[in-house]
Formats: sequence, C-alpha cells, structure tokens
Amino acid sequence: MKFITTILFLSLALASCSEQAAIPPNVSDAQRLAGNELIVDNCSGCHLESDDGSFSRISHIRKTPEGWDMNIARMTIFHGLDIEPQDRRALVKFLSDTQGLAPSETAAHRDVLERKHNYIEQDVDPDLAAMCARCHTYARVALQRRDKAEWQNLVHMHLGQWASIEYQMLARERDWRADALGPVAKKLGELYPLKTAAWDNWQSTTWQDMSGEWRIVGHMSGQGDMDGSMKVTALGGGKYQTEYSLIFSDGITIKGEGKSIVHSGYEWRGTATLDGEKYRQIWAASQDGNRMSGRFFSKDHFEDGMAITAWRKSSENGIMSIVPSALKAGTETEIVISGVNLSGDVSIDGAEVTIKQVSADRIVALVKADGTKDGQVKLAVGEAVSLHTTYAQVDYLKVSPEYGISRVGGGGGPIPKVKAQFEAVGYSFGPDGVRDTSDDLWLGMVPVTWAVDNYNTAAAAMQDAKYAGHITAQGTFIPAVAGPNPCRKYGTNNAGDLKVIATYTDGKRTLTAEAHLVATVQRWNNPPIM
Amino acid sequence: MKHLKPLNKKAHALTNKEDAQEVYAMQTVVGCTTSTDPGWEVDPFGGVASLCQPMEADLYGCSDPCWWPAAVPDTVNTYPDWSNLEDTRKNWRKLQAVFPED
Repeated sequence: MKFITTILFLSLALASCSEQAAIPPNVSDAQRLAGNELIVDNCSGCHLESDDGSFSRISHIRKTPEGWDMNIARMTIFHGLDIEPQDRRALVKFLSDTQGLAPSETAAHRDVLERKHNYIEQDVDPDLAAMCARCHTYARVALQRRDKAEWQNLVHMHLGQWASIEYQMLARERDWRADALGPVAKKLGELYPLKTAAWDNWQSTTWQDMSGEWRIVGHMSGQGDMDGSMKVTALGGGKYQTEYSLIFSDGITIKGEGKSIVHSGYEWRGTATLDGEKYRQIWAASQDGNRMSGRFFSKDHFEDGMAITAWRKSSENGIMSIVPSALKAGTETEIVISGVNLSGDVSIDGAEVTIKQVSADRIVALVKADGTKDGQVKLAVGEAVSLHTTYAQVDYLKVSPEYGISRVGGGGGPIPKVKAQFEAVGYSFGPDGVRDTSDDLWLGMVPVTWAVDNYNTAAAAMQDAKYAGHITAQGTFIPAVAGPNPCRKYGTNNAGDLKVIATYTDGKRTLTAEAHLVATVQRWNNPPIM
Repeated sequence: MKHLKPLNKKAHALTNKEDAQEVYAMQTVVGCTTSTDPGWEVDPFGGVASLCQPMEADLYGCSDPCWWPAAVPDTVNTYPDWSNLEDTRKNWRKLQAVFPED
C-alpha cells in the first residue's frame, strides 16, 4: 500500500504542477491524496484504476452526499464491502466535494432530498417516469450526473441485480430493454451529463466558511413556529460544532448542540440533540455563505420536522419572519418579529403597536389592526421593511397537504410508524370578494378541530376510519400498528383510505376543508433518497 | 373436459356440475407484478383498497417473483435469508429494515 501511495502522491504532485488550474481550489492536494487513498483502500479491488488516475464507474458519476452514501451502502449489501463508519463518511465527503452537484443542479429536487414524504413530483417526463419513477422518486434519478454509457451501465446493473425487471416494467407493451438502453439512456445523458458548466463554475467559486453566529427561524406544519440562534464553530475539514437556543411558539426555549459537515461547498448536513431528542438537518447554503435554508427533522421520525431559514449575523439588517402570519382587524394580537440587527421604531400601516420586548434579534409587540387597510400592509422596524397581512375574517380554508401519506408501523415489528401532519391554512377572498382569484390573501395557519372519516364507499365497507388510526388536536395522524388484524375483513392490516376534515369556527360561522390521507403499509427499504 | 379424467374430489364435483363455466387463459396478467404501477403503497385508484389484503400474507411474493426491491427486501441482495421467515403472515415482525444507516 505504501508503494501505491507513493506513486499516487508523485502522480498528484506532477499533475498539480502541470494542471494547476484544473484543480479546484476548495479541495487541497492533501485532501485529494487522502481521498484517493480511501478509494484505493476500499474500492479498487473491483473498481480498476486507469493510467490517468480515474477509477472505473466511480470517476464517471456525480452525486449528492446522500447519493454517494447510498452507493457505499449498496456496495456493503451487494458486494460485501466492509468499511469503517469514519471511512464511509470521509469517502462521502471527498466524493461530494470532487464529484458533487452544483446548487443549480439540486434546486429543483430539494423537497425529496429534504425527505418531505408528502411531496408529489410534478411534470416528470413521461418516458422517464415510466422507466424510473414507478419504484423511485424521479429526484433520485435527476440528482445524478452521468454520460449515456454510464446511464446504460445503470440499466445493466438493474437487469443484473433484479432480473425480472425486464418482464415487469410494462415489457408486455414495449421492448423494455431496447427502450432503457436506447432512448432513455440517451435522454438521461443529455439531460444529466457528467460534465456541466454549472459544476465547473461552482468548483471555481470560493466555498465559504460557515462558522459564526446565526439567526434561525422555522415553521412546523400544524404545530407552530420557532426562532432562535445558532453558534457555529469550525473544527476543520468542513466540519463544525453547533450550539442552539430555540424559542418555540408555546414560549418554551430549548437548548442543544450538535455537529455538522458541509459537502460540495454548500450542502450542510447536521445532527443535533435538543432536549434529549436527536435531529438531523439537510440545508443548502447560499453562494456567499450568509444564508441557509432547508429542513430540520427528527432522526427517528423524519416526517416530524420544520422548514427553516438561517441568516448569518452580519452588518446587514433585515426581518426574517413575523408570527403570526396575518392580523385579524379589531383583535389585539401578540406578534414576534425575528431578524438580524433590528433597530428603530416599529410600525405597521393601519395598526396600533405596543412594544413588549426588544432586542436586535427579536421584537415582541401587541398589535391591533384597525381594519382600515385590508390586505398587505407595510411593517417596518427602522429601515428594515417587510409586508404583513391584515384581514377582516377567514373566508375559506385549505388543508395542507392535500394528499398525505402515513404508514403503519410498530406492532412488535422493527419499522416505526410514519405519521402524517396536516395544517389548516386560512384565506381571505381579498378585495374582489371571490374565492380562488389572484388577490386572495394567504393568512397562514389557523386553529381548527380535526377529524378523519372513510374516504369513499370502499373505505366505508372496510371500516378504514375505525382501524387505520386517529388524528390529534394538532392535526397529527397517528397510524395504527402494523401487521394483519384478525378483527378486519380478510384479516387485513390496518391500512386505510381516509379523508381528513378540518373545521374552523368563528362565532356562528363554521368553515370546513378536507384532504385525502392514504394510511398505507410500511417500507423496509428506507434510503435517504427513496 | 371429455379428454380429462378427474382425479380428486374437487375435480369430480366440477365434472358433475352442469353449469360449470369454460375456463379461459388470461389475456392479461393482473396484479402489481405486471407494471409496478403506481407504487408499492398506493393502488391504481390512489387508495389502498386494491392492495394485497393483507400484504403480509403475500410478502414473499412481493419480494421474490414480484420484485418490489425499492420498498421490500429482496431475496437476492438485501435479504438472502428470507427462507428463515417461513410464514410472513405470522413472522412479518422478523423482517428487518435493510438500508444500512451510517
């Protein structure tokens, strides 16, 4: 191994002299040397190294950190790769830094990357949907970059590992193999090629150090909001120590700490322990390193999470969030304005404002809109300006998501339940007084009562609402336990087809809205990108 | 049927039944195996009524001949010891998650 390492070092040293401009400045020679050594040690038994220093298959693909981790996981399952956890992490880091995806290449698919399990992909090319997205999310494909020959290798891998695929995937209606290896591989190679200007350009930018003080705000669907601070300390090698102090909308402050790593110069991946519970983060940083956004979710229940935005505390000022999202005219409401470097008078057009607490990060005020200005109004804190909404009444509701999914779990089995979280969002008709027009006002989450019922007659015949689970006062559907249920027809399991009903009451007025919930079966294969 | 000789009780009953219907070969193959459409967890109508009920009774079928490897362990790669499960309707709890977390 020492001999190989020496040759590798000499090769890299020579390469660094002759091809200085081609080496991304964000990955040092020492890091490249260490990364190559990891590939040699763990992969080169099967993946042959060429004279140019590339490795078969590996060097001809680009992926997200999750994609590379799934690759390594598959090597352990399929081919008996035995790799130490720290080496697996280091390989993911090295491959993501040197063969990752640019921000613009992941932008369209972050919902899947962030593990939003209710997300429904839209406008997928029908040929690619039929070929790939019957088993996987389309994002799993679109978050890879290969040339046509390498996409063809992926087809061959599927044929080799799951031989009956050729007979399943609509093969009775078409020549599946010719289709997969021909037009589909060609289209994928054109849509998602290995070499792109986006990745070349991203590698030539300077990847930012994320250490410093941050403000962070978030929203938990159906639950409420959060704002707080995050202190990030660099540990070297793209790794960071983090400390959190987060205030939730019930007034409780939770402190915690964690560790994070940044892949590909912007893919922030973190773990955190808050109040004894473990969480994960999948965030993306802006090019200037001063903003991050993404999802903060439970390690064991990825469906429990919040969408977050983080701003670095810098010299600029600004309003990050205003909670609640809208003010009802004539009602005194406590609002929380979160931001960075907030200073100066607080004013809201058409509203009286009484300040309760003030800091540079957070202002708490009592506000009463007088009803003279419905719609979007100007909210200002000194020079920082944002728009806020005032309204006379909630005119209609929508339940989000419109189509949700939960999964049975537990019941003595190893797969935990996957809950489904719903949120009722209020709307005002807006100035035209007509529903579903462009001037309607989004009012944010409104308080409702929740119920579930059978979705249709087939569900009623199976008594799905009785067996599939229950919904809490916060709109969280808790599915029933997994496994066949002898009390049910056919002895079937506790899957069910349900409608979720939200009811909003304002005096004598009652509004309702519904969503569709598929309370379905569990999965035993749960990779980071489904 | 006149060229076939019944051998067991059920076949005798069928032979003697005057209104026995002709049997046709299936023109199309039904079930999730033909198209893996739309998914492991949702039936073609967007609900769950047409999923296998219960799927636990048929789980081996989902794994080996049917192949839902993106959702269910398969007998070649992720779960070669499937035969140890025997009756999955009874022993589904023994089936472990297959993605090796870091």
